[in-house]
Amino acid sequence: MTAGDRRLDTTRRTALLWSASAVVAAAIALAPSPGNAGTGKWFAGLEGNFSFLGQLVSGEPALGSFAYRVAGGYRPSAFEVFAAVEHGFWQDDEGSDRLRIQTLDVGLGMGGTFFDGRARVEITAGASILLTRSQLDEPGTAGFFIDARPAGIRWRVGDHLIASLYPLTFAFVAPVTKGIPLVYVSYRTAVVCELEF
Amino acid sequence: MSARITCLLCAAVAAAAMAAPQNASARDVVLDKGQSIYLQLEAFGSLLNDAVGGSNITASAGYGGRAGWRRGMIGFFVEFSRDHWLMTEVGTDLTQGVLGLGVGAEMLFADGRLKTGAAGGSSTLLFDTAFHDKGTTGFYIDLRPVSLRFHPAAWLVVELSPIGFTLESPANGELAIRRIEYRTTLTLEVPL
Repeated sequence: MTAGDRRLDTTRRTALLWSASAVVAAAIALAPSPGNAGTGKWFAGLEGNFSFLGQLVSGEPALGSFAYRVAGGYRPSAFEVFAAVEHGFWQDDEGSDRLRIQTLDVGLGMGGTFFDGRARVEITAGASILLTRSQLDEPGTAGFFIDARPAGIRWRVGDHLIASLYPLTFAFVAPVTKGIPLVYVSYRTAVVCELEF
Repeated sequence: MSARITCLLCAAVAAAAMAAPQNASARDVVLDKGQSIYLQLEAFGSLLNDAVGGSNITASAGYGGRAGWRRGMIGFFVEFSRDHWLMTEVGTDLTQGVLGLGVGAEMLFADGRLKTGAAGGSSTLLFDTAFHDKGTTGFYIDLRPVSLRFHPAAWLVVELSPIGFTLESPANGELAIRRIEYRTTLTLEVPL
């Protein structure tokens, strides 16, 4: 790759970052708010999350991680409790870009909505189980995970449906804690579709 | 340690959001101005910047200021920032880091209680490295997707950006210096 190619790549990545910011800003401006509704209700959410910013900057062609999650809980007030199950895909510990290592993360969490339900904070913690064989570890090895989401934006898109965007979340997933630990630290972006009933 | 700090950050955000004084009339004063000029002073810090796929746990802390103009929910600003880098390759040294000078745009939403913004500009190295001299200048990009704004008084807005993304690249070319920071920023804003 020549210096010119690198400059072009940098320009493209910068343009992509600004475009993504513009799209997020437009979505925030145009979408309706969830209002005060939603307290005293059960909810279930389906989510996809991935990390890409670091990879975008360093020019890696693949995502840093990808996961999908199912969560369900109860929201008696602005405060809420829930259980979550997540299937995560992480970069190979042999150094390739493939998301070969898989984990199953099962945990409990609590969260809170504020600003009339338009913003949300949550934290989840629990067991992280390795599903695939790594260089050093067998499937079934279990450790722990912590997922923290300091600020998410919510939009009500139907009577029972809420869409959420968490632009940046922090995940610490450690399916192997003994011997040589296997630890993934990731700043992720998450999109959630939530059903209230 | 890092996970604990992040958990504490979440708890702090929740507590601040639920307990902070929300002076609705103060917020209305700010929003009803139509257009306004404002000054901001901010402090920021970040941990675990290179922990994602890296072996160095680099941290940084700094401060900055902004002067801006806002019309309705849209605003534009100029800014400076001083970011001190904590280097951990050999020992633990707090360096002079970089000076950022830039411009940006922002948008308020949720009745002025949330904000999204982006900025970019020049990033100048303030110390000598093995391959680059002090004064080498490149660029930076700063994205703050969600900031929480509290209005304790008509003359003051307190803003918390729990996690933002900043790319600093003070040196480009063959031996580029690129640093990614996931910053937490606390800002005080005074509308003029």
